Amino acid sequence: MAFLAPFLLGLAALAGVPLAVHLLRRRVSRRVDFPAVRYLTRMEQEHSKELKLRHRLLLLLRVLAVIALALAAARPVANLVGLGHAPLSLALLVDNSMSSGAVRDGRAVIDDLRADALALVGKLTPEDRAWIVTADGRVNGGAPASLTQLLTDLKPLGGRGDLGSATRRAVALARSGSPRAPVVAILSDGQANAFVAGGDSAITAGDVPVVALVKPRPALRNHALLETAATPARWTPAGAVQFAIASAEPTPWRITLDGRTVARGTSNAGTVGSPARTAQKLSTASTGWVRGSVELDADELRGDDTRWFAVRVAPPPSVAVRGEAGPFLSAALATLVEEKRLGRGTEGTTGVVAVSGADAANVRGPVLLTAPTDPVRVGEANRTLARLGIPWRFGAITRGLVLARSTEVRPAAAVGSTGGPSVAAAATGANALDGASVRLRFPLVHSPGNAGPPARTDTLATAGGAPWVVAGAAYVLIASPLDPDATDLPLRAGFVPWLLESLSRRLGDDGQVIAAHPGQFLAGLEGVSALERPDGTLVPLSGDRLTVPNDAGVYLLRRQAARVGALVVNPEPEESDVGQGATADAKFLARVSGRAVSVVAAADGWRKQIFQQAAGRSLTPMLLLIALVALLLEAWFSRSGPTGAPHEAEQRTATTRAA
Amino acid sequence: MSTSRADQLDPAVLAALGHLELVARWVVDGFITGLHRSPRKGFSVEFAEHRPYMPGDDLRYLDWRIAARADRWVVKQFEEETNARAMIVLDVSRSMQWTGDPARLTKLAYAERLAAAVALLLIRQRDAVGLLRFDASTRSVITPRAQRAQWRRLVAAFSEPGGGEASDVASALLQAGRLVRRPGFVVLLSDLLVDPTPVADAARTLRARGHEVLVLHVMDPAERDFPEAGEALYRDLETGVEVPAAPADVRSSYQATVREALGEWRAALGRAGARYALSVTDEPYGRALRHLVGVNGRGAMV
Repeated sequence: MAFLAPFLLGLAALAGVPLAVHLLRRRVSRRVDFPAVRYLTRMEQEHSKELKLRHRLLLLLRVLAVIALALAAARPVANLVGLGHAPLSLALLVDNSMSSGAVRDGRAVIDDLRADALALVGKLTPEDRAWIVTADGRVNGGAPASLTQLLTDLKPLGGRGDLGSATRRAVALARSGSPRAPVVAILSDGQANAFVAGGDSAITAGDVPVVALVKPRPALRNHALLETAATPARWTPAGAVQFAIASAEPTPWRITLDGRTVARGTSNAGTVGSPARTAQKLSTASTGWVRGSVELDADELRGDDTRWFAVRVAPPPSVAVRGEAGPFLSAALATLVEEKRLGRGTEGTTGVVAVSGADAANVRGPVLLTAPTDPVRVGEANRTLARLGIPWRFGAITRGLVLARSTEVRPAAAVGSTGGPSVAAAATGANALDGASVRLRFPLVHSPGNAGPPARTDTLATAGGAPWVVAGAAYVLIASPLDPDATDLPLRAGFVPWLLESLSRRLGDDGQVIAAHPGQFLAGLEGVSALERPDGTLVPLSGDRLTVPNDAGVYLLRRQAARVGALVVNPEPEESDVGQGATADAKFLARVSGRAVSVVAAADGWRKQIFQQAAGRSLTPMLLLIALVALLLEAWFSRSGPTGAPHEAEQRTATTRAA
Repeated sequence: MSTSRADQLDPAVLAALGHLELVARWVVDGFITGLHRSPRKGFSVEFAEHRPYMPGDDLRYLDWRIAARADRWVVKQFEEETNARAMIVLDVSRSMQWTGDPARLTKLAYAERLAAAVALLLIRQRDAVGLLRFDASTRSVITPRAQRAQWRRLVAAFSEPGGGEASDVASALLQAGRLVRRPGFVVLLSDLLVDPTPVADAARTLRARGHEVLVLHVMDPAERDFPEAGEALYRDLETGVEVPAAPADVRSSYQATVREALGEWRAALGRAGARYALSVTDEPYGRALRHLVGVNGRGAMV
């Protein structure tokens, strides 16, 4: 037996009051004049045995009533077989990930899960504590009525959520309801990757029983858009959209820009592991930030039939290239100019980026600077940096082969688990710096003057442990000359895209495109004051962090009235794998360890197993009944004497008066 | 007083309205109104005294000489032959001077008013009435007389001291019997916190001498009901004996014991030929008075 409010057991000490009164009765010091003492004496002589018995019975009843009330106040629970269930501390985890929106046999999986959850909540008693945890880790507790309303309003998430974290939270919640019997009940569609994708570590439930309901469900043929990316970041006004489709048969697709369909086609068949990839070149007459989507015809799982992307349509950035930049940089920029990704401008003109060696004279920002080829020119280069207000200086020349490490933190890159290279990664050249070999460098030394320490995002790559490529307001600085003798960076495939991205995004005004999944947590959004929803409404942001909305779509980043980037929210590709698989139970059991972890296929058995964890019930009503009976008996015994019931006494008195 | 009969009002209310003498008059007037006034009362051949004329008095008995001489309207009253002698035996022991509620009369105050009313009633019908006040011993004695001034003597005697620590009821009864020379009435007003046997024996003795014995057992409601007064030592006013008790626990047993004791009194006095009645001090006087005077019944005084 356990007590939900054990501190109230102290009330049982009040049972000593009737005892003390009984024991102290003979020590009463108060005296009352009463002429008819002879009747009292006679009463004691005639009814002494009955009075003693009655006194003891009254004492017993009073003590019993006090103890029963104290025990009831402490809310005891006990395992009494066959008497309902003891109070539960139930954490009900409903896997409302995107795959729960699938329609099978004309009924949405989420509706099936909801019905099972409602049936369980309906069996809870006021003594139970219950929480509902959704796949995104949100927790809601309260009375059964509010939980019922919450379940009624429950909708599938736009993404996968984090079932592992949600399970850990559910275990902690169930445990927090002690001394109620803790139980974690899981309702899941058994989607193949429910517990295994995304690097979830093992979940330890410990002594908290975990009972999962995974109903066998028929196979579902789903076609899905797994990835979408638009390149380049700035369309001038042309660009391309790459996407990957998993479908058992050729599937028609269409691309929309700002809601208008601009391209159609049919993809080849593919699987989630090996999707059919397609690239479509596009051009648009729109300018500014454009929301785009790739769409498939609707099927049983609507959540992955559309994927979103965002592009900025604007004239190409302009550059002014000096000779000190070196032949490779000049050639790369010339190529981009030829492809009309860049335009040539005059140095010093607003919006024109100067690309040069740092040792060039009279360079004006914004600038992309490389280290001087000649070590003798380092002093001149550092003077240029000081003149431009760049808080970095070239250090002493260092020779020797080292590999560069990219330190650039991208809030969220498109996650590709499909085995092939991510279309987003390939399109932006994000990995161009990582792994580049460096033979000659001038390690950058931070020299902020009065500007304070550098922000972490200033260093894009390191070489030999020292900053190698850094960026800041209106500058990108490379600590080696872009020469094959110094580094193979200009020879790498990602160099030109990286260069274009640096010129257009870091030194231009393209802003940033952040790809994210629903429910994901993002940080580092400096300068963003609000999110502009697809419907045009604004969500103010405080600080530089946000939780990604659950609905997929393109959310534009606002800095006051200006649009400074886009948050592209798409579901995780693995969530499109709606196959349940014969090993779903095994995967679940492998992920969740504990004293009693089980997977049940039938709802009735699932509920039965949950309440078996707390076979028994609260003893409070029974104790209250005992106290009530004791008090009623006490009142009856107090009123009635040993010679008969009260009504008899009254009758005799009336008779006496009449006589 | 003109609309309600005083004999049917709460004794405490009456006591608040007037002193003993006045209350007794109201009670008797109300009681007689209820009896439709005795036809025997009135006027005889032997002059006794004057009284003020009241509307409705027979004009034949108006004393015209006084009316002419002093311009006062009085009627002549005549001595009617005394037809009974009664002795009121009043217990004035300490236990009688107790009340369970300050809003109520003490048992003695109640008994005194009742005794005064009885005396007045008897005197009005020309019966001789006497008084014997007692506790452990006889406190005062007024021999029976039928004069109107006798009632004032009786009333005055009520203010004499009492409050003894015992009640010798049997001796008082016997002494009262001796004071009533020819067969008459002996009226005992007491709380009877004594053994019944000696009292019943004394009553039997009086009955053997031809007296009618009327016993009015005066009891406070608290003595009958033992109301809640908390856990305490209950002390006998006369003997000093203390008994611990909690009314809530023993009330029903106590009440049963009281009922048994009253039943024993009724039986013992009944066997002795005495008439017994219980009067609780929150009851109107009329009820007790009716018991005492035994209107139109055996041994009726009225």
